[in-house]
Amino acid sequence: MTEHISLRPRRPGLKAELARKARPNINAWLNDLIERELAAQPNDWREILHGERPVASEEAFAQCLRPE
Amino acid sequence: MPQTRIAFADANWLFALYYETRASAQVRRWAEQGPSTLVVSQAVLAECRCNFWRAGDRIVALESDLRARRFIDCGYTFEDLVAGSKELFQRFAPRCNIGTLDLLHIHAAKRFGCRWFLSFDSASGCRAVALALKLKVFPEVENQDRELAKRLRLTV
Repeated sequence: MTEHISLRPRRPGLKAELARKARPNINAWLNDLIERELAAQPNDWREILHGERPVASEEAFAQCLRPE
Repeated sequence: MPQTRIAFADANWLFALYYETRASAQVRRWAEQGPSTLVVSQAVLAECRCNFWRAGDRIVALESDLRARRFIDCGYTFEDLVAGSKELFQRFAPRCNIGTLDLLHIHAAKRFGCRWFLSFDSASGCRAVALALKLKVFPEVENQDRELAKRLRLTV
């Protein structure tokens, strides 16, 4: 079974740039790129909770809550 | 196995992650519920780069954690976000106190495909708008914002 993914380039000229960079086989190049990205698991942000976490004043936090 | 939650983190949520605040217990509660991928945008980071200095120098740690891939940057430019939020501005600005950046965050969350929106905003309608746009909001939305979300959904 063949699956297809469509891509809308975010800026003009990206398609041509990709064609140059990914020679000779754009499909293989993109597949490798996607596999690498998917394999690179992000580190767990929850570790931040176990590190240094200074206490912020109520005033400082309240300022973050105002609509900007 | 439960699915990893993909959540967009508002700047005030990251503030309560890097600093101990009255809201930090909710951050811990979310963390205890299991793994999640946190998504941020350049607009969120800009807010953090300002707000974090009000309480210390933890912005340095946030920048380092971004490089270490503890968070995913959604990758949209500021111009992308503004252009994409045009309809949201028109639809929601006349109906509540939501801020410009808040609408950019909600737009980024929707566009990236996040299921969750993490924010402590209150009184602006930000969480109500997120809910009206079918994002799941944490901490849970209370009655006032739930009512507002219902009204916002009806007044398209």
